[in-house]
Amino acid sequence: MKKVLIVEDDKYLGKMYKRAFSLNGHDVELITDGEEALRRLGDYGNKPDLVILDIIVPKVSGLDILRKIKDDSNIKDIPVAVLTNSLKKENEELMTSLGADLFLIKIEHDAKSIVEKANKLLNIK
Amino acid sequence: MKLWYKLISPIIIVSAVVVIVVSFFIASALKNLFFKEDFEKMEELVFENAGHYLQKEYFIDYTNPEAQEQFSEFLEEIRDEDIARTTIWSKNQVILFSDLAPVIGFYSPDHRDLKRLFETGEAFFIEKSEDTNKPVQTIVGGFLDTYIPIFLDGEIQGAVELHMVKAVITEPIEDAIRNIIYILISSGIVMTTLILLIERQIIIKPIHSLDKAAEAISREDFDYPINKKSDDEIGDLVSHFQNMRVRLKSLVGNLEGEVQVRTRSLKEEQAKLMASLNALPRGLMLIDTSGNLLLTNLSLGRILDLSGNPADWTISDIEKKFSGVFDIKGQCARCQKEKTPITIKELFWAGKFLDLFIAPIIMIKDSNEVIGNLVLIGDITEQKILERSKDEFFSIASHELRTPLTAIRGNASMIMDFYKDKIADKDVQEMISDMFAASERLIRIVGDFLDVSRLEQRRMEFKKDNFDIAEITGKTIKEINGNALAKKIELRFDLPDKPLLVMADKDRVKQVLVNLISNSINYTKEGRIVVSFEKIDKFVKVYIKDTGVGIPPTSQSLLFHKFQQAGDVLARDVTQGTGLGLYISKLLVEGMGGSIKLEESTVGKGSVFSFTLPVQE
Repeated sequence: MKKVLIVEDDKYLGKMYKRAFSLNGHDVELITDGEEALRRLGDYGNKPDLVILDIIVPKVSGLDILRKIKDDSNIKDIPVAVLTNSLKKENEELMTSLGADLFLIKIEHDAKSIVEKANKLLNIK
Repeated sequence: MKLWYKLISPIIIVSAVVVIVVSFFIASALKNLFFKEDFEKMEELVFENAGHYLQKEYFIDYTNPEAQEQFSEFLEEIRDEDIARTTIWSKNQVILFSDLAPVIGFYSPDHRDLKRLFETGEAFFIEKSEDTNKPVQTIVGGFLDTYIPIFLDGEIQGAVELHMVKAVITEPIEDAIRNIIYILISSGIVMTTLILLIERQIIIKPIHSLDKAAEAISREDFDYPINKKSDDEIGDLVSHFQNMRVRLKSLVGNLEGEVQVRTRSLKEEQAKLMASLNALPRGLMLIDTSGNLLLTNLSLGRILDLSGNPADWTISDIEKKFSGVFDIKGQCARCQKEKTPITIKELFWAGKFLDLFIAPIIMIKDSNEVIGNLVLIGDITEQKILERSKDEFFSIASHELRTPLTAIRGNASMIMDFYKDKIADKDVQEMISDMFAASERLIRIVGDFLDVSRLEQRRMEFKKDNFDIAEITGKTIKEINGNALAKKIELRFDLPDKPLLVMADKDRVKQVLVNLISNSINYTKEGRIVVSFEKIDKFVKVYIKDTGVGIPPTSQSLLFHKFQQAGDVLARDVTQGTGLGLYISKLLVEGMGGSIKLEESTVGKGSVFSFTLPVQE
């Protein structure tokens, strides 16, 4: 039972991921824009155990959010799985260099496999 | 008339000179002849009569009347009517006897002529002028003195001097000569006049007439009358001239007609050419070796935004337009110098995208000489925009299409996984399952289109993995074996003795294997599918052999093409139905440095496909 924070602006995908993680027994929070995500992450007393981060969200880019997480000593050790639909290698490299713990291409994974991978990440921790 | 002067003057001059010279010679000759005759006659008379009439003593004692008488009689023999005066001199230069009595005994010590006579002992005559005793050569006037020595017993005793008025002697000669000259001159004048008239008729007139006719030709008058022909060289010239003129007339006539026709058709051709050039959407320029603009078309003006009359555009207008962005002058010069075409694929100028093609114009037939260059300019701005929007379209499509598809598939699969118990109705379960399958298929189709788009625009990135091809094949076969088993087809691969390491994108190789093997499964009713390997040079070749329905020869050429439409039936494609499977496999394999082909296929027996991958370095 882990606290999972999902940052995803597409309502269908967001709902789907939330449901998937819930069905797997996690406590899920869904945030749909970048500004709110940062605010939530600023609440150090209530840190999530895992962040599922969509690269493209409104108001603040996923990149910046990732940077902010990894630059903030309070929250930098929270595992972050980055979601994207881009196949560009540079993006993967960039994400990884910024500290992303997992890089997932949305179309290649359905909800189940994302949850599986996330669980692996959480178990390693 | 100048010709006449040219013809006449030599004749006149020559005649005059001849006349003068001839007369001169005749005069001298005649004169001498005359004088000589007389002189010789006198000399003889003296010689004959000297001994007869004269004695030595007379020359000493000359005053003796006997001497005088003898002298007189002696002279009587010699004298004739022409002789004006006779004198007998002694060898001492004293006058012994004379017609003029008072001069007898006169001593002339300085008498040059006498001195000469006594020294030489030879008779001579000499001409003298009236006033002095100086010798003078004239025909008219003057005197003639003859000196003849008198020899007695072989010894010179004295001399006879005969004084004559020349005119008397020369008069008849001179008259005759004068007459001859008059005759010659007058006949000369007559002859000259005759010659003049004759030449005028024979030569001058026809030439003059020809001249006028020739001049008329330059005024385009081919019918100016020419004098009657004569039967000589001039006549030949006239007749040839007339022939030539007739010919020239007809030629000019024809020529003018020809020129008109040709000019007209040339103008038509030109108009057609210009119309074609102006219809070209590309801008065109022809530039000569000095860098001057020879030819342009309307599109050039449109693309480069040139105003005014196209005939007024100059190369410096063009240069100005390109200044700072493109060195048109330099590139044209380089093209001409190196005799090779220059292509500029993309030039951003004044907000437009242009492509340029510069080619040299070479006279191949003669000298391989460069006579200029051609420049073609195309406006590819729209193309570029289209390209960009295509790119943008696909990247947008990528994101937008896939997101809802992911949601559909994800939810459908979650329902199937977690909510199966909540859905008792089998039909509903089946519907959910179909939705899942359909969404997966849609995802695959979208994926195919995106792959094709990326491959065609060369934006697909291939990873460079090193792996064993046999191992990957094994894994792949395991994953799709289910379908084969369902159809009771054997699916296996031949394991090579040692690992065959290749360098390629692992995921994409798997994609190709899945495509080819799935195709085989789909098109095989029974039998087996075998994957085998072969190392050839720097490549590893993979064979996929099946015992399927085979591919008819007519369809074989379509196999690797986009959409492979052969009527309504797809030549070879799995249930996706996009017709892109083999096309994508081809682009993938080629993108990784290999090649793909249908090795062989027989209808009813089966097919063999193959592809190659580069060996690991």
